Amino acid sequence: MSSTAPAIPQFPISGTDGFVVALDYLARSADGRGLDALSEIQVSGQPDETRLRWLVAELPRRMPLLHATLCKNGWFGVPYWECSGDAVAVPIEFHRVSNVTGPETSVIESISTLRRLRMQGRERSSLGPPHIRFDVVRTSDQTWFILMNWSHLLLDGTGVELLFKHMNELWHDPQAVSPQQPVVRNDKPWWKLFQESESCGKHLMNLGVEPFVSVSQGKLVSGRRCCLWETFSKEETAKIKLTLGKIGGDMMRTFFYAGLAARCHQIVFQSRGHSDFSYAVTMPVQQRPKDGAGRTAIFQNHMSMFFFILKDADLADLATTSKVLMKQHMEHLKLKRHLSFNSLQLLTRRMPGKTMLDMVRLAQRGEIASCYHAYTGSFGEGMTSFCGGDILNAIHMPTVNAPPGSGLFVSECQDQLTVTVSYLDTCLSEAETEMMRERWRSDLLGE
Amino acid sequence: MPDATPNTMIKLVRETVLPDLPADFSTEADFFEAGLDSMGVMQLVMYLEERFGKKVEPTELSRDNFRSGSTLATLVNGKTA
Repeated sequence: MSSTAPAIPQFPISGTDGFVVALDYLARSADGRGLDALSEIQVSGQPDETRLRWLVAELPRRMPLLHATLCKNGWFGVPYWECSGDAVAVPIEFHRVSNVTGPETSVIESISTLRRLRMQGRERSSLGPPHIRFDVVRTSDQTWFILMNWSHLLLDGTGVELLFKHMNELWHDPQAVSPQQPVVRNDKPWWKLFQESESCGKHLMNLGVEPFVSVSQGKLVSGRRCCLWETFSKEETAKIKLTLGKIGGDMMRTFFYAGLAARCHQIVFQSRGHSDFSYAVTMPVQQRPKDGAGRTAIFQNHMSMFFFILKDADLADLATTSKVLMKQHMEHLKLKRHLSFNSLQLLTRRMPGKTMLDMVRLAQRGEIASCYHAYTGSFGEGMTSFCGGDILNAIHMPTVNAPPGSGLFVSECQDQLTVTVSYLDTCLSEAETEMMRERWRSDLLGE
Repeated sequence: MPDATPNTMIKLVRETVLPDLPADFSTEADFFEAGLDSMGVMQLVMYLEERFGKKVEPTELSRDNFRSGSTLATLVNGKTA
């Protein structure tokens, strides 16, 4: 049934991976746990344990990166994934919630209990497999969930959606060919990359001239990883689109949600008695390569990043914020800062994580950004079913490190918008996350 | 300023954001299906202003306006700055 891919002895990390490796190092140095995230799909019907076990066993046989270890030669060598030996199994466990009958022997109180546990990630002493793990939970006679824990070292949110999509493809066609991970070539000498990095480097240095804030106040802290999210109903989501439509067209969504992230953090800072601060907001933009057959790469992080700086006055309302972000974005494009950032990433991927972060935090007075943010669009674009059932909802629950200690993420699934705030409980209180929730409801629904 | 015809719009998209656009790409064919994304749209906004003097307003930033050579030409000709 399998179409075994050839082993990849050594596979260099992408430019974006270099920064993620540094963030993973930051997470591990705080509490020993890597930068792991959780994504889930809620499906109608009943899970088919036998076929799901086959499917999950099939993945590492086809995709060698799933059982690779992250290695590095020397101080300034480019880190690489090394695949050796046999495929290592991807863990999968089956559970049911206590008020539902089923063959599963593992009984959990609720899906929230399991989410809270898995959100914490796993302690890492090596950067080897498993990089993903699954939990399947029967939640009623008509619904089940699949939860995927994943390491950001190997995947990003879009990659997770593509992996789910490919799993569904294999479910229907066990002979389907799996995408091969393309190597992103870089033949430019370091001095050329250095020259190209200048525009973005200067911009990043300038960000730190006027200090910006994060909820961790630039401190390296550990804490319990938490998430608060809200999925809006289809009716509410339609209403949100009408609200946003009065500000701008649908191609401006990325600015609406980056603006929402800033405004939700602003209210927290205001409640802490801060005003007249600057906010540094990041906006990742996907740039995924394709394999020789035109299939999009599943693994590795593939993003360019835009950094925006906002003042309190820019955050007067969502319309103002979105337009300021768009204006800054156009300026970045004119100066080709996204291309400059790509060169910067390729240049710095050789740096040890600690060195890279020390440099960033030195330039930014201890901070990295005011918050993390991503808008991942429609979950699994075009995907309506998963492994035998209809998809009812799907969300990502990223985890964050400190600094900055919090992030706001937005995604959609089956015409339902989900807003998620991820945070460490040492950086944001429950009352503050409720405050954020009130603000996003007010901004999006006009309540 | 060059004329904003559906074919000049296709040429612009090919030159700036979608270099692999087929030679026979029709004026009604969907740029998004051919790989245009929000990042590409923002780049086009910049090039429309540079080459055609068209300043795209936030409310005009819709998928419908950027869907094809035809819709883009209508956008540019409808309200040329």
